Amino acid sequence: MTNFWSSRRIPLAWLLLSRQPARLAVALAGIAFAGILMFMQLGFRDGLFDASVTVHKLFDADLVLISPRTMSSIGMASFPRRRLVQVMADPAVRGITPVNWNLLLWRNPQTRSTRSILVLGFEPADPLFTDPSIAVKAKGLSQKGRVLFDQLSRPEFGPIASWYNQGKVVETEVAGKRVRVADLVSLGASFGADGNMLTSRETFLKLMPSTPPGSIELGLIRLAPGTDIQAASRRIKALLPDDVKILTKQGFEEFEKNYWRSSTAIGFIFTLGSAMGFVVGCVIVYQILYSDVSDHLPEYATLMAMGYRLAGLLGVVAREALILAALGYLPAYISAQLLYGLVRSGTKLPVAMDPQRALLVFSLILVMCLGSAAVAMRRLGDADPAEIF
Amino acid sequence: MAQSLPPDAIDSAAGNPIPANTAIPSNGVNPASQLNQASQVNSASQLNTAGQLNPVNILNRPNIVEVVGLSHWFGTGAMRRAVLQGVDLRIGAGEMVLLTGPSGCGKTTLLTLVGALRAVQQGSVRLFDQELNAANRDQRQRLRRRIGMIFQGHNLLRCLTAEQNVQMGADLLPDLGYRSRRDLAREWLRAVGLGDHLAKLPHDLSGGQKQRVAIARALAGRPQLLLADEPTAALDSRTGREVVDLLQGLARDQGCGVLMVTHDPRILDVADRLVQMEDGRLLEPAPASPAVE
Repeated sequence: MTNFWSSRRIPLAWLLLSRQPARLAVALAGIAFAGILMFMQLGFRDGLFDASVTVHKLFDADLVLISPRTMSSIGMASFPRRRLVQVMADPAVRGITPVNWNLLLWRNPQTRSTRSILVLGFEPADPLFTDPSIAVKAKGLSQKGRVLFDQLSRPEFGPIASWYNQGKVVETEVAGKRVRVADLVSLGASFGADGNMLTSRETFLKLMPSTPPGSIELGLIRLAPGTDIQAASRRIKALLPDDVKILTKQGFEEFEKNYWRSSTAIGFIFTLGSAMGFVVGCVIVYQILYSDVSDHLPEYATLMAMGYRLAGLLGVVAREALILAALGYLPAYISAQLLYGLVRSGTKLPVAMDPQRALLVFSLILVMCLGSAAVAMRRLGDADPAEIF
Repeated sequence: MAQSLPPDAIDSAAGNPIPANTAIPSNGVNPASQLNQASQVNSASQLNTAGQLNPVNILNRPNIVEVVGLSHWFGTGAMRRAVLQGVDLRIGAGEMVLLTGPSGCGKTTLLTLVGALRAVQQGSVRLFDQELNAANRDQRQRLRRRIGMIFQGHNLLRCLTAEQNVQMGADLLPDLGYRSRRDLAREWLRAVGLGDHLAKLPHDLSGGQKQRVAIARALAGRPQLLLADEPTAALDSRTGREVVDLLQGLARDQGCGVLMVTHDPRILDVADRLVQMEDGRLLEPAPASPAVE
């Protein structure tokens, strides 16, 4: 180590950059801009995918059953409830909750216009969400025609929360049938549903009379604490016929995200956005390094005449690129943190810095700088030491 | 006193090329650092303006440069034009050779060929007993580390201080730690009278000072041969004189051969030997005393 330190030379790359502060500032601003662009686009993309599973995350379940025909939360197919009951045969299973899931039309009691709302039907005594306050409120559903309204639904559903809090009796129509808001809950709008509503299974069947009483769209399975979830999933899969699909809770969320990722343009749009940031960054870094090499060409030629190797000088340009990447990433990272905070408070989109994305953007900036340096280096080949006399 | 400057003076007087590792200024007290610029320049110019060519016995020195039958062309096909035609030249260790001649006669081309900056086309150039004809890029680059070069337009790195510029020359020395290379750079800057300007950028130095830094940089790599292309062209006559005297004194103390291209008639008297060139050929040996005076 001491040997390495003592054999070091003049830090030419750093001096070339730092003695031209204006150019360095432009380069860093460009790289930071590209970095922020990539951070924001990728952040929005992941945030939107996260937003598609707002409700999924709340379920009190280790494993879930869905129909193999189900593609996403906006088109849940039904399967026989018997299958969920069969699951009880496995000793690790502690509890099950059959859930009916559909999108129905909610009439805004103020404007009388209708809008699609996600309706979940369940036995009020069964646990549905991990939030214990909902189980308490669910008791109010035992009366027919009562619903729990999600106060985080978009405002287009009407001023339900404020009316309810004023003590009014809030009544409206869902799928043409009269319902009364028994209480308010906080779930959150998701990608597929602008609003949510919980009701008893009995009321659900009244709202949707065509639903066969023995069919459900989602089955929640709770396992004994400490159970190997994967192993239990395999056992249950073996137990059941092919007309249901078993997923872990995590897998259920991925399944939903994957639908939005693969069957919509969202992933493409934001990936394209970050690719544009990458390209812009490449152009800026290339411009900076190219003009830096061009401006110093006689000096590089002088160094070659003195006996410095071309490879050594290429190393100088490469080190310049590394320094630029490291110095440009820092402001990008910090600004992205601040902007994520702004977006979270402004749009309720769950956008946050995650280490994987931080690493991805750093690698992209690194590739951007080194790639641009590699192209700019070709100019170094023009440095002919014989021309400097 | 000027002659006692670097400790290698004895070596060069005995006619030995400097072994690469005998130290010039290292740590601690060095005679060079005690010199101020004025005394150096004065004693050197006294010696040279006395009218005699420096009495160095050239004959018993080994040749560091041996050029035999060197021809060179630029361009191809119909545009092919001969720049050098059958040039023969020898430079001994510690010898100072001045090359003069009209513009475009091939002086600079000869300099770049001797400096291993260009591939040899025809003829033989032996540098430190190594044949340059057919030497590849890599071999030439390695040979260049033993040559110091001083350019018409100083060619200092703009973003480096005087000290760092000189250290770029010293950094090529193997087996020396960072600290000793930096000290070496400082000693050389003191030796050229710029001990007070270590941290200045080339931008803040005068033309003469820049050329001194360039000399320090060329010598910091402990070269055995120094090539200079009109080092005084951009300087006024007094500064030019000082720079050349300094160059001569330091090169002699290092036992370093010098090949200097110049148009400047005022500095011809520093030469051990004067070579004139015309139309790509060297004229017959110059008269014993140069025609200037």
